[in-house]
Amino acid sequence: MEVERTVSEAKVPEKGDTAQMSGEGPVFCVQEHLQAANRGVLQRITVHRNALIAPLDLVFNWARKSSIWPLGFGLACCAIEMMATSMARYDFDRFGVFFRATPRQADLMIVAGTLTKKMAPTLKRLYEQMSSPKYVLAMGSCAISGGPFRDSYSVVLGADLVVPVDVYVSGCPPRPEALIEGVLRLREKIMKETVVSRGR
Amino acid sequence: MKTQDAEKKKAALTKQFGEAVTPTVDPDGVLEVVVAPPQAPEVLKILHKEYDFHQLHDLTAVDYIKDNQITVIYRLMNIEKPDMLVVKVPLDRNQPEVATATGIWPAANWLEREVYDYFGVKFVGHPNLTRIMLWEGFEGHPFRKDFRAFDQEPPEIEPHEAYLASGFEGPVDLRDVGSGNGAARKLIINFGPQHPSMHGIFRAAVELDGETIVDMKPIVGYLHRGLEKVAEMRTWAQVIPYTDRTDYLAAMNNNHAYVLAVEKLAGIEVPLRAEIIRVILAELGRLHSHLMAIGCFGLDLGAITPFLYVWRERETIYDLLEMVSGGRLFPTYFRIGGVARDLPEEFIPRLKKFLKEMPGHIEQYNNILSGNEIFQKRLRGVAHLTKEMALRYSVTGPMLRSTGINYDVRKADPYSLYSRFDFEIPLGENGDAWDFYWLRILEMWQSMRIIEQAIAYLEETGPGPVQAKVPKTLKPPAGEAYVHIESPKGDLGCYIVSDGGTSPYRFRWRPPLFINLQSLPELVRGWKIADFIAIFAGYDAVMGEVDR
Amino acid sequence: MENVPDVTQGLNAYPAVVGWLEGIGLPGWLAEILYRVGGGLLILTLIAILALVLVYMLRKVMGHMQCRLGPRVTGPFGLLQTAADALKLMQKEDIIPARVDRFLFILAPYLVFFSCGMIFMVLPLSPTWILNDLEAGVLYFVAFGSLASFGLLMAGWGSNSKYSLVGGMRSVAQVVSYEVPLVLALLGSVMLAGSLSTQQIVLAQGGTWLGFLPRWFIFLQPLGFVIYFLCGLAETGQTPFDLPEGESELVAGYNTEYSGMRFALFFLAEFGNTFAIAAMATTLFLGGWHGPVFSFLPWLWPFVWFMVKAMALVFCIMWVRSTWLRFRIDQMMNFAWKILVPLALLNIFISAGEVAAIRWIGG
Repeated sequence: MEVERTVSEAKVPEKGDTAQMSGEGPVFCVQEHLQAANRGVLQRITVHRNALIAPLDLVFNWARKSSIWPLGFGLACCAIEMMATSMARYDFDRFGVFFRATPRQADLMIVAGTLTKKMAPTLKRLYEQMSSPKYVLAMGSCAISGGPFRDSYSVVLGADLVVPVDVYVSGCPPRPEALIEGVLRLREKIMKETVVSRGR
Repeated sequence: MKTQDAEKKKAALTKQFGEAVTPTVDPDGVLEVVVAPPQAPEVLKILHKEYDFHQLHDLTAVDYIKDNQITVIYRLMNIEKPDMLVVKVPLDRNQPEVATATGIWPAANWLEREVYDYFGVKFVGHPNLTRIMLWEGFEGHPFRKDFRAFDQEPPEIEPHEAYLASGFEGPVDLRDVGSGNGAARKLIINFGPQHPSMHGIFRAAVELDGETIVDMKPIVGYLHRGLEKVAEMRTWAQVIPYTDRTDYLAAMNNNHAYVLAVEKLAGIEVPLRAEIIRVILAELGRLHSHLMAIGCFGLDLGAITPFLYVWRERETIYDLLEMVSGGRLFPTYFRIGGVARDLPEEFIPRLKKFLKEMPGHIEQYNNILSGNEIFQKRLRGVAHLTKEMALRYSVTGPMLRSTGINYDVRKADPYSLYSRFDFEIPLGENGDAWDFYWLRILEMWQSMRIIEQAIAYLEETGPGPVQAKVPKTLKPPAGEAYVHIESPKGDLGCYIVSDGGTSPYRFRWRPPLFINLQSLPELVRGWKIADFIAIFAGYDAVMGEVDR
Repeated sequence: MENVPDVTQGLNAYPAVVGWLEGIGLPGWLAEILYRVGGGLLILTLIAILALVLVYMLRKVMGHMQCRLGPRVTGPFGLLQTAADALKLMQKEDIIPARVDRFLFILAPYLVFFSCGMIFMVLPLSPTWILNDLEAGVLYFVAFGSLASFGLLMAGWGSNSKYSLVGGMRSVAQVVSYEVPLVLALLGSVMLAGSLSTQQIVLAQGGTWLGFLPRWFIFLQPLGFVIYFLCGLAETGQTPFDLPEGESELVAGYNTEYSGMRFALFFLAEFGNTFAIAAMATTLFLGGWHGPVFSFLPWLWPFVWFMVKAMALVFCIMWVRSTWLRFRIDQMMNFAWKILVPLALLNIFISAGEVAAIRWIGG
């Protein structure tokens, strides 16, 4: 049984892209320094699963997707919507999502909020402290690409410049329903993984 | 707020300092004194001692590149009279230096570091003039008008600032800790930036002797997004969503401060209906923020359930906001000149229903949290914020009122329609963590009172326009305006400078939390770790406002 | 009415199993060893199942108390949630930070789990279902209960992290402080029963007064029960005594550096200990496995009653966890030494009086 894993291509910004803004102020260029592993990579991996691997995959993937423990890593305003998602109305615990305070016990890092340059080394360190298999969800437009602060001098233009991101949830801030959708998509992504080869 | 006896003060200052000062009374009645840099420390000292301006309300700077000047602006206040005065010190842009004001007002400490960080102004005599929002190694000073280095790389390793009096302490291998002949060794622990109770990304380096805190140092700037600089690249109306994102727990109040400032500058008259709607939403924002503060108090101390109950009410308020504007967290409903659109029909009935249910819910919180003996034991008598300490650090908001000082901008310097509503300002006595908590509950009752009166007033005035006639591209006349309001966190000020263009020339947010946080080290010294968490919960810190 | 002799008919596994093993040719000592080992494995399975059930129960109970539903998606009614959690933890990378004290770091979770497991040996699940009815069962329980503090201190120190160190120190202070009132509180039941053996204590609670009130020791020892319950909460690190793992203060306390299966062992041990405390409280105060026996499967009913009572206490523990908040460390120590110890001593005097009174009334 073959399984195709595709990572869809993101539009790689060209050098020299500029953004126009109204009013006076400096015109900026998209940062040229992109980490190659993160953006614009098209991968097609064909994995052969046999009768032994497939049920194993099913059970292990099911366990991993049903028990996602995020790291409580709220940076800014999106953290409030993340909290709202785990509150009584949009209960996250229904899906087995259970926030842990320490990165060692967490599977998922929800980067909720603006990633500033001062915080970037800490983010990287926290990601490295998490134990595999681990996933990253970029929540909100600031974590995806800098958001409304794209022309600021102290904002990293997207969390995926620092850590590899699996799911992007857009919004400013995304509604709790959108975040739940993001987690459901992550669950689908996890189901496609296999014990045979692990990318991370 | 006017300067009391402005003309008299003007005459007295001119007599005392002669050529060095140029006092003028601006159209609002506030006395502005332009002082030459060498005389600045003396003038400030005299103003503090003899003229009784014992609180430094704000310290900021504006880069007037055309005049080759960087003007440092000191906004002084006496909150008990109340009285306000502005001192402007124009500095040479190529070598901006002035003496520090930390000897007079300790609250100037972080404010001067911020001005140094943004503009490169050297404050001679400052105990620790290092960057506060950005990291050491950042090139340039971003708020200068000729700053171009936007694409700098993030720092490679985390910023290890010199911690405390003990000096630098990086990662320590506890196995290397020698026996030290039985002498007690102090432990330096970092709380944050990622920590469940740090209300966002805030780092507290705490020096412990066992479980007792000997000293602590707060490190901020992890969420510094350069909001004030970004605002200079947007039009006046486009800045409104950015103000939402400072104190993201009570977005409406932030909007309120900004639009009031722009309306003051541009001379725009807001229709009555819009004003009433604004008051309703601002008080709803206060409820919203205080509910979260109460929940967080419980959560930080270990009570998980009240946090969820509080969120039940917050979700109802989110529903109301969504009804009005379509946005939950950031309604961005206020516009320059009024509000975006009129209230939908379902809003008032839903709001009335909410107000009817709230007292029952507050009783529930009292039962499960306030009345809980363990909770009271954890909070009563913990921390002692004295009046003198609060004034020294320019603390405002519920924390100031917990010491007994009656200062609430809604009563001291009424803005919008607050002068026609009947409400009280709850005051505390001890300045302990319990007062920080209990005052918020009492303020919630008062907010509900105001909302009820506002609804009655709204129904009385009937339908009408909700937005004044404002040109599509707003170009306020050149000048400046300062407006301050009572946000749930404290005295929130918005200072805008316009050069007649479509964007703000300088947009300054006077953040109550940033200034309040300077009192944290002194407040927690001698208490335990658990108390530190409880006291910090009393600040109700929101990093979006601290770091902007 | 319950009758002890009928219930135990056909239930005594020992002669049956050992007899069968000897029948197939194994020497006597080997059969004995196999029987004991089998029993131990059964207990471990029980602990695993209990942990599964308890974690699910915690999430559901806390969820419902917080106006929300707990796990629902994983399996029907979310029943497979803990199984998924356990499987996931098995797949996690085993991180041993570079500068930890390897021996202590690795040993700690096993020690904590071991102490939790050993306690189950003396719990009387049913008249004959007790792994080893020691003459000094209660003493054994107390001894192994306090062994966990070693494990927590090892975890705290061995992790070479300041959060863990503070958590470990707190846990030692807490466990040691609350041992004293715990032991004093259970002495009351021991005196009333006249024996340290858990099975004997349960048997002493048989029968009823005035035809309807069961002779549980809780009616003679309400103070002892309350003290024991609170000390039990402190021993296992449950709210309001969850300082060692104070999540909002110390990130995860002594747990901070543990990941994957090692963390799972701590997690399991926490819930195992919680159940053990509740089970011991049932044994000492709530009459253990006593309860009405019905004709359908008569040998199962004592076990059912035992579990019902223990689970009711576990529910109370979870209820407390959702409602109350954490103590501060000095308040916690105050509470133990200045309030609980004197009350427990008072309780011993009262129990002594009760023993004398019973003897005097009895003849």
